[in-house]
Amino acid sequence: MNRRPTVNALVRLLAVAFIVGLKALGVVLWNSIQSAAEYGIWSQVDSVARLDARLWEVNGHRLVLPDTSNHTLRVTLLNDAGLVLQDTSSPNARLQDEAQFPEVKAALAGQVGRAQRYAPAIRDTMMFTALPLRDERGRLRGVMRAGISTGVLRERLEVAWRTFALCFVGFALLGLALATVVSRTLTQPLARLSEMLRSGDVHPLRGSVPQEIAHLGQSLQRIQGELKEQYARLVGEHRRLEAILSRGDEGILLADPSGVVTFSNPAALRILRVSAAEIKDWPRTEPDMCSRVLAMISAGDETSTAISSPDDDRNVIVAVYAIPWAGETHGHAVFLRDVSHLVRVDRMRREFIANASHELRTPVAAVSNALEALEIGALQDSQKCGAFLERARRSVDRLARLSEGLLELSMAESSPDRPGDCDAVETAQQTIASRQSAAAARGQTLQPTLPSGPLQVAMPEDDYSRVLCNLIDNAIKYAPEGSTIEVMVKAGPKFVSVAALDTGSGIEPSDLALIFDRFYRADNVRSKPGSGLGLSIAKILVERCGGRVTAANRPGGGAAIGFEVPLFKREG
Amino acid sequence: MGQGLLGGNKILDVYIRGLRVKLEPDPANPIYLITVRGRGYSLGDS
Repeated sequence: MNRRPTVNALVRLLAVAFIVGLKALGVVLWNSIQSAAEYGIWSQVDSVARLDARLWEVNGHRLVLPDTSNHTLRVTLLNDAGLVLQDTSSPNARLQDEAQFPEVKAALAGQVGRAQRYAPAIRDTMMFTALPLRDERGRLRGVMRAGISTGVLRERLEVAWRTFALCFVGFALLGLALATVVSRTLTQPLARLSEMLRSGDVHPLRGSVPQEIAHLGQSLQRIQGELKEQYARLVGEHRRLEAILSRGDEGILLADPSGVVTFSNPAALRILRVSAAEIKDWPRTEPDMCSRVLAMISAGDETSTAISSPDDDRNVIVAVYAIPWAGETHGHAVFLRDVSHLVRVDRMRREFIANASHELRTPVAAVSNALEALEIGALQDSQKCGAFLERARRSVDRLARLSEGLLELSMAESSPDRPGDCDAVETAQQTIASRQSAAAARGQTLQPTLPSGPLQVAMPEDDYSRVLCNLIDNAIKYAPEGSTIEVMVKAGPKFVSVAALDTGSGIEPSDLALIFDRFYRADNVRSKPGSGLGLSIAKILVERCGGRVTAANRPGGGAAIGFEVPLFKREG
Repeated sequence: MGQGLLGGNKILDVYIRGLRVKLEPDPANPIYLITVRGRGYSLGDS
């Protein structure tokens, strides 16, 4: 780029070319002036020589000369041997031999002789013309020579030369000045425009600016305005797109044609468990999920598959799309959808059906066995008969409890949400009272720990009562006989926590998270009666009104199973 | 320009005037050395 010539340099070059051309023209002109001048002198010398030769003929071979003589014009008459007979400039030169001079030599040979040489006597260059002089019979009688000093010529030429040189220098200076002015008026506004473009703010050029450059400036200003507009629009579009892509649960990655990830939204990073910085150079050959997705981008095929993480139970549906641009693939878009919870729900549903059918089959099989035994003869044996009937009745009871529980669970799950509220303290008192007899049957005492005042919670009274009832029944079932079960209601800033605390053997820590699952029963309580659905129903009812269930082991032994339910806030 | 530059034919004019002073009875009205305008000088009628 630095090799490119600037306008300044070009204009200067033009000026120099102009001056050199002027000089060449001057030299040619000067030479022609000089030769014209010389020609003029020669013609004068010739004229004098011819005139004198004619006068010599007319006057009987005698030289006629004016009385006054001058140094510029010299007339010489020579005889046929080249000796001086008469000379206007030097009367004493008589008989001086001048035959050796070229013009005299030529004239003696019968021709017109011309020569130019320096004459030391007058310290000047003389131009001579010599003519042969013949008598009537044509015999050579002598030579007539005229000479003019070139001093005059030189003087005149010198004056002319000085004038000429002065003109030349003047023109040269004028040319340079003009070049500078032109280059300034051209390049300065251009440089200003270029500077304005660099700084990104083009405004109209002030001062005297050539029309074309002013137009250029206006066009640039317009273009810049349009560019700024376009840029703002693009930025706006980009922001909007980014906002859309950044939100939502769907993970989105954009990759350039070389497979490098250029955009990743928060959902994608969350699903792949990497940071935006890490994903740039994440390895593509590892077994982890991010690595596998990146490998799919590298492969470049349009695919849609589900992949699961080797480390945990994450399941992600990955869809890779090519982005077409001008007939070519311009990178890829990847959509990631985390379907882990759907997979989990599906598995739970299948497990529930398996568990439910298993739970139902067991008592049915027991009833069936008992009936068969009665059929094949036990009916006659009154002792055995009673035992079988007893077993069948217990199984049918269990079946009834199970179907009741399932019905309740199904109703809890499918019944529409209904708003409601109740006094947590009063309802707790009623519920405790209603379970006293069941506790008493196992020799247990229910000990309420309740706040004094009413405590309104955002849960329908039926649901609240059902949940607390299930918690108390659960405690009655698993707490040792004769123990005390504490029922506690405690108000927090936003929630009311309710719990049944027993003094039993507690729950295995690994089971704490599972006790609210359907049909779950800890191994050590399998033998006890129960459907395994009570706490599941409690969980559904509590979570439906924005609360949560809690399960922990008490520091002094025994389990604390309870729930938190939000305080009721009156509308307005 | 060439003629002017060289002082015209003044060298020749001066020389002719000198000759006329010497040859002509009345140098102001020459009869021998006659000026032929546009051509030069002529000796007598010839």
